[in-house]
Amino acid sequence: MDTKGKIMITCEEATYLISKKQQDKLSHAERLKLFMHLIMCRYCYRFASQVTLITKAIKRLKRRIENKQIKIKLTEEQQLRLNSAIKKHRCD
Amino acid sequence: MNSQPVVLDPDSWVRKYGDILYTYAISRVNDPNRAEDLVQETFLAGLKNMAGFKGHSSEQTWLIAILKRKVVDFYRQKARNREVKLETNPQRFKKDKPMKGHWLDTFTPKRWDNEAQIKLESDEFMHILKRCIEKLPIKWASCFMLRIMEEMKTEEICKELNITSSNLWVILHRARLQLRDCLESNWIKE
Repeated sequence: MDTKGKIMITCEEATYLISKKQQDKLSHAERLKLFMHLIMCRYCYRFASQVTLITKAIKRLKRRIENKQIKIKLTEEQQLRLNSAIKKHRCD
Repeated sequence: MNSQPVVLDPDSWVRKYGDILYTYAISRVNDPNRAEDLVQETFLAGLKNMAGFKGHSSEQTWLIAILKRKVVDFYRQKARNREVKLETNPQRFKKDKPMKGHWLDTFTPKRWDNEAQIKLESDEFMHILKRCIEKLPIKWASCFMLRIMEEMKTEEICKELNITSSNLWVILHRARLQLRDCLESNWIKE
């Protein structure tokens, strides 16, 4: 989405910049345009804070899985299946 | 420092790492059977590559790295040979002047209260997120998983999925728009 050459951007363009900002640095021009839009548009402002919350939640989820704070246990059946697969392939 | 060399012990893998690998897999793929398959493939690949294990990392880190690769393969294969259909995206913004590019009334983001943040921090989030990702077109879901969950580099994803980087950015953006909608209407504001 090219916003070069204009100062006022649309919601469609603003949301794109908000999205981009989640993982990439915006240029100075992009930051300024987004800022100008967000002080005028409550929907995009809302969108920005919600998308940021979602990004944070995903990061938190990944961290919690890595730290074993979320653990989904294998059933006994699944464990048996996995163990016998390992045994079988060790003998091969 | 002289640390003990790590010796691999496949007989203890399921007991020691089964749950953590399964949790990782199930957070990435929606189907428990598919997740179990990925864990099994990981163990078998581990057995095959035991000679390649240099002991620089722990057994667990090594196995998770293998699983990660399996997840990436899974999404790459899913996305392969699929056209990128951007038009499956519902039109969220006005098409005609003078309000071209502004939110359509039905698609304006709703206000979220404090409850929303509590929900996003709950363990339920993992399941809702997966359900919402599942609803995305396959190629979008793959882009999202590889970039956001697996944190693969942009160039790598473009190569694997055969798309341009600007394509990837647009896909990720549309995926986010849709994901936000899905979370809002199916969970936060149900």
